[in-house]
Amino acid sequence: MNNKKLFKTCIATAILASISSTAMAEDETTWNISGWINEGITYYDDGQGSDVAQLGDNGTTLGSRIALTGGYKPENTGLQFGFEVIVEPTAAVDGNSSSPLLSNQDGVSNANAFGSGVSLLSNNIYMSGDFGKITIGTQSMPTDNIAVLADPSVTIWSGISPLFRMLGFSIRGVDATAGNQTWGNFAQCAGLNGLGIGIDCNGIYRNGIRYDLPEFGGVNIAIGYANDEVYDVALKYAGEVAGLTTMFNAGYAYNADGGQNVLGSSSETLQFQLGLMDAESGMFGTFAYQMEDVEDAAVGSGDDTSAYHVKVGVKRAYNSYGDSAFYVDYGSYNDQYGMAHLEGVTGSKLSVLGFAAEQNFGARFLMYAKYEIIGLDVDGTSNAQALYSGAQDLNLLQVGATFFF
Amino acid sequence: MRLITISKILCMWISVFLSFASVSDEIIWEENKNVFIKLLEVETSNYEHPNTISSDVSNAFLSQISIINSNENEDALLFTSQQISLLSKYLPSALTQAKQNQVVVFSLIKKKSSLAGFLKRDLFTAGSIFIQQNTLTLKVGDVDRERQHGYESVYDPTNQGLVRYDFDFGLDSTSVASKKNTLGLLTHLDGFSTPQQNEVNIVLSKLSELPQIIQQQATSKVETKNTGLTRQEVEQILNEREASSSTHKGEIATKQQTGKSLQQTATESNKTTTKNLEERFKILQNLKDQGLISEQEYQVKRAELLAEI
Repeated sequence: MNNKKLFKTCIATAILASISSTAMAEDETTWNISGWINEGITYYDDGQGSDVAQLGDNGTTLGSRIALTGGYKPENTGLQFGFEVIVEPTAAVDGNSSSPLLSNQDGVSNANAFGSGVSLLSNNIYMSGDFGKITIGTQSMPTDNIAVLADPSVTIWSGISPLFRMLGFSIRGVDATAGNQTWGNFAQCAGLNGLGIGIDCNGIYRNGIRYDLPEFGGVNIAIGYANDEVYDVALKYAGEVAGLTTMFNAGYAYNADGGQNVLGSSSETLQFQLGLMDAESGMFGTFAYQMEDVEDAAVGSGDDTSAYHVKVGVKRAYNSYGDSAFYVDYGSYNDQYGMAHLEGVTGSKLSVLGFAAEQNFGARFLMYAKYEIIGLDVDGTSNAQALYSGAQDLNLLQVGATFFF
Repeated sequence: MRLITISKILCMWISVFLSFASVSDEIIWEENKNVFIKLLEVETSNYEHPNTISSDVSNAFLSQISIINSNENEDALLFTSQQISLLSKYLPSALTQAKQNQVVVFSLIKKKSSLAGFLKRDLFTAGSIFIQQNTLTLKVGDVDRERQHGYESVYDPTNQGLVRYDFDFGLDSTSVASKKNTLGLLTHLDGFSTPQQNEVNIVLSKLSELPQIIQQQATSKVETKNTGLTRQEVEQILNEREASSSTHKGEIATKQQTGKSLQQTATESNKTTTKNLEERFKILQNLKDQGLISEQEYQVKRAELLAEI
C-alpha cells in the first residue's frame, strides 16, 4: 500500500513539475545565420597531364553553405516550431559542365565562378516537443552522411572522402570506346541511380518528411520518407565506451525506384560507421562500410556492391593556434561499375589512398592539405582488360581553408 | 538475404556494444549533455571527500576568480553571475556526495550574440573543483571554448542535441599548458593563491571567513576599469555626498543654536539627506548596470545605504 501511495505521489509530482515548467515559459523567438565557406587550390596529375586550379567548393552537400534558421516557442505549449533555409554558393564551373560535381579536367582548369549564382540545398519547417521532432521539406534525410560523420576527430572537411572530389574526371588510359570513362562511373550508387559517390549512397538532400524520436541513452533514431518512395531509418550513438569517445552510425534505405543504373526495379542500401578516439592521446580511427543490393537488375551488372573506408590518425593541440590533425585514410569501392558487364567486366575496385594534415585556428578557421592517389583495378574478360587495364592513377593535391561562422 | 543477415549481426553488435557503454559519472545538475555539473571518477583517491562548504562561501570563492586575457592585458571575471549562482548552488551538495576518488567537474555555457542577434556564439568553460590537503582547489581546462555550430549542423541536421564535446577539466597539466589559461585573483588574502596558471586554491580555514573579508574589502577597495567613470571618481562622489550629509548634520546643530525650530531644521535636513540617498542609490545602480562594480559590491554598498535610512 505504501509503495502504491509513493508511486502516485511521484507521478503527481512529475505532472505538477511539468505543468509548472511550461506555465513559467514565455514566447521565445530565435534567429541564427551560420555556415562555412570553403576554398582551395587543387593540383592534379592524371597520368597524361597536370594542372593547377583555384576551386571553390565542389558542390557536395558538405560544401560551402549559408544557413538561416529560426525557431519559435509559444508560451505554455511545450512545443517549438522553426525553419531552415540553406543555400550553397555555386562552385566554379566552366560553360560546358552540367555540375561542379561532374566537372572533368577541362572544366576544372577553366573554372570561373564569376556570374554564377547560389543553389538551394535545404528549405524546411519543423515541429518538436517531448514526442520528438517532425521535419518537412527539402532536407537532410536520416541516412544522409550516415557513413561519413561518425568521426570523433571531426576531420571531415579536409577529407570528404569516402566521397571523393573528382567524380567527373576522365580516367586516362581507358580506351576511348569504353562505356565507363570517368572515376565516378566506377563508384556508382544504386540508391542514387548511378550518381557516383562511393560510400555515401543516400548523400543528397531530398524533399520528404522526417521523424526524429526523442534521444535515449545517447541513441537517436530517425525515420524518413522522401520523394519518390525512398524510405530510410538511421541510428546514431555518441558516448563513451571503455574510456574511448565512441560514435556509431547505422542506416538502412529502401528506394522503390533505385537501381535504374543497372536496370533494376528497386534498391536497398545498408551503411554503418564506427569512430573511436582517445581524448588523452588524440589517437582516433574510423571504419565505414556500405553494401547495396538491386532487385531485378541486369544479370552480371554491378547490382551487388560494397564499399569500405578506414581512417587513422592523431588530433591534439601541438601549438597555441588550436588542434592539429594528421591522418591516413583508405577507401575501396567494389563492383560499382554499373552496366560495364556488357564489356566483359566482372568486378572492379576503385581505391583511394589519402594523406592529410589539418590545422585549426580556434573554432572558426581551418587550413588543410590532402594528397590522394586514386587507382582502378578491373576483373573480366580479355575485352574488359583491353578497355580498362591501361587506367592511369589520378594524383590529387588539395590545399584549402574553411571559415566557419 | 545478405542484407537481412548483415542487419541481424548489426543489431546484435549494437546491443552488445551499448551494454559496455560507460555510465560511471554521477550527474549533480545537467541542462544537456554539454552543460553540467557532475562527479568524475579519477585514478587518485586521496581527495578529502565527502566534505561540506556552504553556498555563501562557494559564491564568495567563485566571485573572486579572474582570467587574464593576454591579448587585452586586462583581467575579466572567469564566471558570469549566472554561472556563479549555479555553481555555488550545486557545489555544496556535490562535495557532500563526492567520494575520495571523485572530483566535481563542470561545463558551463555563456552566450554572445552580434549582428542584431543573428550571429550567435556559445562559449564553454570547463574545470574541476576538489578538496585536497585541507585546501579547496579550482582548476580550469577549457575557457571560452567555442561551440562548433558548423559540425553540429552537419552531424545533427535536425538539432537533436546529439553532439557531445570532450571537455578538458584542467586535471591534465600537459594539455592545459598549451592553452595558456592564466587565472588570477581579484583580492589578495592570506591562504588564497594561484600556484599554477590554471589553478586557484584557498586553505579551508580561511574559506569560512571569506564572505566577511570580501565584504570589508569591497567597501574600501579601489579598482579602476577603463570604461567611462572610474571607481575612484565614483568613490569620491559618494564620499562627497557623505561629507555633505555630515555637513547638513552640523548645520542642524548650528541652527539649533541660532534658535530655529528643531522640527524645521530636521525636516529640511531630512529632505536633503533623502535626496542625497536617492541620488546615491541611482549612482550605485548606474555603476552596476555599467559593469563597474560586481554584484557582491553592489549588495554590500546597498546594504550600507539602506542602513542610513
